[in-house]
Amino acid sequence: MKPTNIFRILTPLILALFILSLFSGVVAAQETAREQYEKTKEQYQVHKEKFDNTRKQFEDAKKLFEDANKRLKNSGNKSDNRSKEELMEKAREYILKAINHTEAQLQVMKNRLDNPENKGILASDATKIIDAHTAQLEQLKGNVSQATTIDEIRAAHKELAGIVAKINLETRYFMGMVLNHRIDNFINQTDNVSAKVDDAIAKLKANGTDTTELESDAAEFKNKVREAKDIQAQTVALFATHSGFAADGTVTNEKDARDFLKKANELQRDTIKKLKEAGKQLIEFGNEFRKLARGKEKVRVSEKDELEINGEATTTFTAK
Amino acid sequence: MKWIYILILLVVAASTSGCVDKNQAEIPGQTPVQTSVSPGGSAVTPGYVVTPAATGTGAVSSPTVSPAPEDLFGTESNLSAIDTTFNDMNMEITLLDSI
Repeated sequence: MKPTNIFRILTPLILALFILSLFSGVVAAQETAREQYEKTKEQYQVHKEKFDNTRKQFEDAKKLFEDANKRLKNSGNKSDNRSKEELMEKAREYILKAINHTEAQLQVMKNRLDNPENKGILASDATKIIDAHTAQLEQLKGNVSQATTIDEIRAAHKELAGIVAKINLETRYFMGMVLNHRIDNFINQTDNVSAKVDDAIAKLKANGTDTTELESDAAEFKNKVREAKDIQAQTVALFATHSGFAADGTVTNEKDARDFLKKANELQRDTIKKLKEAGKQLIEFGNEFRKLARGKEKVRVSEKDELEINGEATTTFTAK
Repeated sequence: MKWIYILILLVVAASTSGCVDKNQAEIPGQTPVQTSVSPGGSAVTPGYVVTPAATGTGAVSSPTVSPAPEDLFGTESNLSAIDTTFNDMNMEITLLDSI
């Protein structure tokens, strides 16, 4: 082979390699995002499974303690040392399982807050609060394991009850913030969906298609989203007061915190209900859209974020 | 002949630089065997295909989730994620009043 021929073959090859190397960066980035997503998902699954397992162990230990307690009471012989010892061991086991379960709950919450998607939604470093609770629980675990009298066990249970009450409230507060963030994101997305829906209707109308049904579905969808937005605004305003909680999310007044969370929970439940109704309306829109596409099944939102009907002639509706 | 040679070289070059055979697990339409587990809220319900969001940033955010045919806009998967978060919000441990 002459040097000129080699040069003629190598030149396009080098060029092709150069162009492909540009894309390989994108592929690598996509892989990284996917890997991170998978990793986050796996971590969440691990924590959630652990939470479910520890709950079962806790409930079992609680029942065994209650049964032993009942047996001792029914026996009428309260000076029976063997039964008392057995009861103490059941109580110890019940408290240790309760601590494990509480720690598992903290880890689920920490996993949620550590998710990059939720970074920055809390003004404070909630993970520090979670770590402090975990350290408290670990210390208590040591005390329970070393307790030699029923009074020590009782004191540990009382202390645990105080910690658990705070953790339960803080969990609801922090998770409520995460939920608000997700709802806000969803509501923001609905603006984009509304634009696509309007665009699709406008273009079908321009083709002379009767879009009455579509318009009705779209109007109902927007109406539900508007209602959801209104309730969400109330929720966000309520969270701004964080009654019963300090700015960092720690409980300052249990009663106020409970009342605040009750109201917040009701509002968030209503918002989700409205959003689900809006989602249902969107499915109705999609079904009607398909009908108008004369039964062609390949109606979808493309990767380019366009509403498409792939039929004999492909029609593409692009959101403005 | 020369073009066949170049084509073979291109395929080899493409596969070595990572542009081929990387995303075979994400064939559109395939249903991953997943429950509605939500990592940080990104629920994946059966019938959805996960594809990483076009990136460049490397941030996890939510990889985009290609919806099932009846869910044109992918809203149902997001609603499912919201539901999971709501359930996590109501995690609560109930201890005995006293022992």
